[in-house]
Amino acid sequence: MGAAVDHVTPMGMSGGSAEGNDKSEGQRFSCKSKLTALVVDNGGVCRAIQTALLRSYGVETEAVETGEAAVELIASGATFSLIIIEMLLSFMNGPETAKQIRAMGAQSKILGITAFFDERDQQEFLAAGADNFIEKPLSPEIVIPIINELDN
Amino acid sequence: MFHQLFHDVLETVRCSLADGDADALVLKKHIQNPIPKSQKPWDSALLIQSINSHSREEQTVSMEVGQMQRRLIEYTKSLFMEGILDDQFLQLQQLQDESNPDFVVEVVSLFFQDAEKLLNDITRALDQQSVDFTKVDAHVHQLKGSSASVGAQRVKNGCIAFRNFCEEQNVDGSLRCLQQIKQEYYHVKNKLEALFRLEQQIVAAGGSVPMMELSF
Repeated sequence: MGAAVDHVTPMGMSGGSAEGNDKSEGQRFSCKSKLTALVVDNGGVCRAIQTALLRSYGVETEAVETGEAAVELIASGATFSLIIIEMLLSFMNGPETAKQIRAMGAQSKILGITAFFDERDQQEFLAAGADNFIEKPLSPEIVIPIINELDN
Repeated sequence: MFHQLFHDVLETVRCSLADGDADALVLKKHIQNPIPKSQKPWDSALLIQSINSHSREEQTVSMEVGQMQRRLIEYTKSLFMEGILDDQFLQLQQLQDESNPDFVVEVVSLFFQDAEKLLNDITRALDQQSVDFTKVDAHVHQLKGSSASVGAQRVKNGCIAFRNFCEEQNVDGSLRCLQQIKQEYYHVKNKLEALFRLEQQIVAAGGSVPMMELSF
């Protein structure tokens, strides 16, 4: 299944755009500067997909399972351009994680992410220092503008 | 007139072919995918010329791979048409490349493991004398997140409905909905396993796996 792939157009859809990272056109959207990201999610599937998506745009990405692990990483001196934090983590929740990261002076862009969008969760996350709050899945439409912003 | 004559010849040959005849098998495969009458006659001639310019074995393999690729595309399309998968699945395929050649199978396998564990956890939680809906909510939150992230649309939608029952603390409603989610989960699991088997067959036959393109 790792064999070379041929890209075909399905169901009347037109060819992918560069924003979709359509490899068949030979164009690959990529960040211009050296960007780093941290994914904080207790779900292995979401960690894997979000990490792969960011890496496909040239962002050096790490992933951890808990808010505590994220705080420890940053406390040890690691810096990230972007931190994506799940709302409902196993122990310390997303907003509390964001709060502790901000309290350490981190200037990273923080994106809160959740399975079920809720306005109260959004307010809690933003009040804790997150820059934005979205519902899963993480998509190119969300990530590419953020990368462009960080690049500039 | 030439085109009609060509089709008549093919029909005559088809009737007189003996089974097991190696040459016949190659031509038979060509007949089984007849040239549409709408095509111009010289397209048929070019096709015959192209066939004759390759070895019979190569032609046979190439036709088989072509058929399998078409079957895979149609099968994948049907999963989207039926709402079993959504665009997010295409995103996963876009993330698969030479540096990550088995990404889709790996992530989907992880999804199967996670989903089955979460469904068991939810079942156990709902079976308690006093149901802890906070715990149930945490499990369905994770299941919705992962199903949305792999493009398992019906499982995702089932989670949305389930959560509504949870918020009402409606155990019976939750149990009924959970059954529904389980059905949708096993359905998408069977479909995706069949899809991966088709891909494996294409690769085993020396072909490449066609991928759908995204548009935004």
